[in-house]
Amino acid sequence: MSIFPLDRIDTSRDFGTPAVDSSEMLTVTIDGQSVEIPAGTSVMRAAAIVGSSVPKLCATDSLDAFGSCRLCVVEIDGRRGTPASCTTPCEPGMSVTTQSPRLDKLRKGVMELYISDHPLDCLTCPANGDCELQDMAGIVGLRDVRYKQIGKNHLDAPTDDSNPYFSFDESKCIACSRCVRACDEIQGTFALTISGRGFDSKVSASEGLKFIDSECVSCGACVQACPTSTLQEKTVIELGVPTREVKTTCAYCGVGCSFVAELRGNELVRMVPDKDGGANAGHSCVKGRFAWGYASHVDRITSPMIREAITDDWKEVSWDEAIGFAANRLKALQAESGIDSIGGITSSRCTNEEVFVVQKMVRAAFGNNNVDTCARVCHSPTGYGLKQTFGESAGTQDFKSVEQSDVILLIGANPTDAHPVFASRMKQVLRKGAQLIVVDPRRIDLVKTAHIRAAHHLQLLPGTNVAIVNAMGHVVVTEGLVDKGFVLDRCDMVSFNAWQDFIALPENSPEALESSTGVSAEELRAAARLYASAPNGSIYYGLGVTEHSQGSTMVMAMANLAMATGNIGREGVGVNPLRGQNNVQGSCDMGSFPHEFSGYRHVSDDSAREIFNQLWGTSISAVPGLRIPNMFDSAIAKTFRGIYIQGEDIAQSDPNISHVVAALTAMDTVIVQDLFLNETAKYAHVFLPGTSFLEKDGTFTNAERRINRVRPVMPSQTGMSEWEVTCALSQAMGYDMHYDNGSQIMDEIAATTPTFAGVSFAKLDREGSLQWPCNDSAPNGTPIMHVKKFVRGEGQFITTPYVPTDEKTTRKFPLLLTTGRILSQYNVGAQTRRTDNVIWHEEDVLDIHEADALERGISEGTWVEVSSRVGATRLRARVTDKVPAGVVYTTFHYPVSGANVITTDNSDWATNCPEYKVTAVQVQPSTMVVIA
Amino acid sequence: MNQQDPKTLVKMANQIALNIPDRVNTSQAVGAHLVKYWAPSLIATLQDYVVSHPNEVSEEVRAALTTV
Repeated sequence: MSIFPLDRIDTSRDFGTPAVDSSEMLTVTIDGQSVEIPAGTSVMRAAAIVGSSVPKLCATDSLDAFGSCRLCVVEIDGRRGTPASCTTPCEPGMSVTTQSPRLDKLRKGVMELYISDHPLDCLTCPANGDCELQDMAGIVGLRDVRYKQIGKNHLDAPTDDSNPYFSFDESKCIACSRCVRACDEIQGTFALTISGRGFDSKVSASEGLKFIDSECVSCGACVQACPTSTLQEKTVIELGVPTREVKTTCAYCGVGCSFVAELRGNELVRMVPDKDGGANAGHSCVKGRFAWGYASHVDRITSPMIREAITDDWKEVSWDEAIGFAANRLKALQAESGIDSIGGITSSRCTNEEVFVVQKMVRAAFGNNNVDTCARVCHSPTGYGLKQTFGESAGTQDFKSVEQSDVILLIGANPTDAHPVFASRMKQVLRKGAQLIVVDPRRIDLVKTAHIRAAHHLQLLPGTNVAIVNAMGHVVVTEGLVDKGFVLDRCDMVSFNAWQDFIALPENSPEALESSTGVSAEELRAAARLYASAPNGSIYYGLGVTEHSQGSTMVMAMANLAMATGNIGREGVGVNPLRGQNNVQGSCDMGSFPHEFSGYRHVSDDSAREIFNQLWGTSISAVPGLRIPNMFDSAIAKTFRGIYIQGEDIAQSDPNISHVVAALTAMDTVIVQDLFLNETAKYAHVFLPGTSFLEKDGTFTNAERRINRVRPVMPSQTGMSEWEVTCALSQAMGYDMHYDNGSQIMDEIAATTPTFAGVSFAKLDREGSLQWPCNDSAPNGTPIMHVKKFVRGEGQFITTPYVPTDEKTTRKFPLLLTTGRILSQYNVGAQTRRTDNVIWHEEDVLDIHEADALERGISEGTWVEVSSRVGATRLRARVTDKVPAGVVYTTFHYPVSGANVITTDNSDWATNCPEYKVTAVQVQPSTMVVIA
Repeated sequence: MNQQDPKTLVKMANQIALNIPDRVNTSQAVGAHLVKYWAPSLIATLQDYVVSHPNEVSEEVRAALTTV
């Protein structure tokens, strides 16, 4: 008898119960077919593997077996009865029969009962043809139902349409609990339950509320899990069942979830999270799953436009005219003011290929290195700090690694809002017993949420990150918690000894820093001990680390801490940036910084420069160009006069907006490439319409260095790919740049960038995704970095003195403002404000502690004026204890909120990443009448 | 060529000197940082300004500017 070959398994199928991770293998026989499977595998999964799929309703392989529907019964030799195959684990030598007259009869009887209380409206049901209940009725051969629908039933149960994206038709519910378990096990929100007993059992959101009023976060896991049309996307109800699908990648946060875009013709019906997605493993959040409607929003601009002056009206023109107009103006500026008088900004929302050609255009066609990226204002300190210490400007782990963490140190990140799919994975680990340390001025949800309570919340004052991590390092060194073996084997000892001497100084003790940080020395010591003594301790961090005057210092301080405790180079550990936008990692990788080529090679590196000069026929400058803030300052000085801005709304997202506007206004030619006429476009002379992620053909690289394909789901609404537009402008500027498709651009990236040498569209299509470095040394990519040695050789400890920010509170500005984002909105809101997500967040508000509110006569909903040293804005107040007294918080999703009108020019010392997270402000009730 | 307000560059340079990890060869480290990350025009602007405003930058920055 032959053994079934496991490499023939189609992983996209539903195997009924999850895969088991076990090195112990055993052999069972299913319907005469032997199969070797990991110990602990269910009979249902083993049967599915050999192709003897057992009928099921309550089982799906994304959820633990539940054993309620009784449809999956089987016969097992030597055993009495007919056990449920989903809850029965395989045992060595077990022989299973999945089809027999006895089983057929039992299954038909079960189905008969289900159908007796289910609407018989299949032909008009939105799930017709895509319904597991319908499928199972067919599979078991149900032809009639003896129990007529005249008795007590649920056929008139109400439908809850309150959620903007899906409906809940209770009459179709079979109470299989898949939705409830998906909410619990996958998402970890525990918003759903089965209320009542027996006949009265029903799915209930937050125990009897409408979905929209419940704790539901609209991740879509319940909709995905529902085997009927009970929980159904409204787009499917409206448009019908999809007829074709395209695999692609979400364009929201840096998690980079894989999705299957399901369409009818060219009309997108729904986005379904891809079970095989390396980053998301079949999960999604409200943005990726549902908030894609902006791509076809009426505000989309699909024709190029030009105008002589920003006071003129826009004039629609042909692509040729727009490109010619832009090129002539840029060339004229260079003729008048020199080759360095123009530059460009790349976007982390665009593909690697689109970004690569923009930086190439600047270096080759503009002839300078004046290219920067929006990552300047978010994670530039990550690139700097990790390069200095580890040797590579990227996070160390894949997302799956967190499953092996015993202690998670979460600093300046709020994953349940900003990286929700990773947060769900993290919550699963925490529910299994991993411990959490939160370092954040705010009481984020993960401090205490369903089934999770952080072991420590170090509620520091904004601006004192480095003091906190230095103090943790002090505890590690002075209490003998250093992993000496790791340090000796893997790190540069001269640097370690210098760091050790520095960090042991009394000034770095928790007690000495207590008054600065506001964190009790006792609690900090306990947290440090917990992290340092964990078998696997991991660090995850966000913009609460980088967007500070010591952002780069803080990244290096965390790297020191990880190396000192031996938490680098294996699963469950590492230093991991949670990137804000979908392609922050990629845009940095592609050579968007003014001092670096793709692959983080400095422009002064002769060998690197020669590669490009040879291939591009150029003579690239060996000195850095201007950073974004330098460009603004130089614009005001009238020495920088023209800019190409790819998919970035700097007039909303950058700090001290009045300064940004002054710079934009001072420039002679501003070219904006975007989906919408954003705030920056008000100051533009050329508008080049961009393409949404649904129209792009390229790749995104997520926070775990995973390169994912972005495939065109529908034709470009503009008739041009964005990289084609860039190439056309380059041509018009006099530099020949041409590609037939995105694949050719990736080939050029691979040919010029050692860490991408093994990447191609063909390989990505074959493998699904690849994590760089991907080259001859690592042909299948690198999920975890620095395993046997650091990229730079030995790990470099760097001393990290705590230097308080210049932004200090005074009697005039007594509060510290910090900013962030919320779940339903994204960045400056350009996309999410154009979706139904606005139902959850109609405006930005100011969170203020009760004590500060009381002192100022502010109550819930009061309009308040928030003023800083650089500006003032008005927001509605929300009184909350999520922020401590002395700290206020807001989001920046709406232009009218003007959050960045009040943030200052202060920035990270090494990278100029703005200090968004610390602004001294005063808050007082607004005397101005605000018309909502 | 004055590309931008030199006072901004003064602030940035002083901040680098205050934060650069190498506290032994600080001016050299500051100089290396400027060369690696700053456009030459910015360094030139700062150098010009410091000639007439030497006391606005720290000692380390002054020393660094003589080496770049």
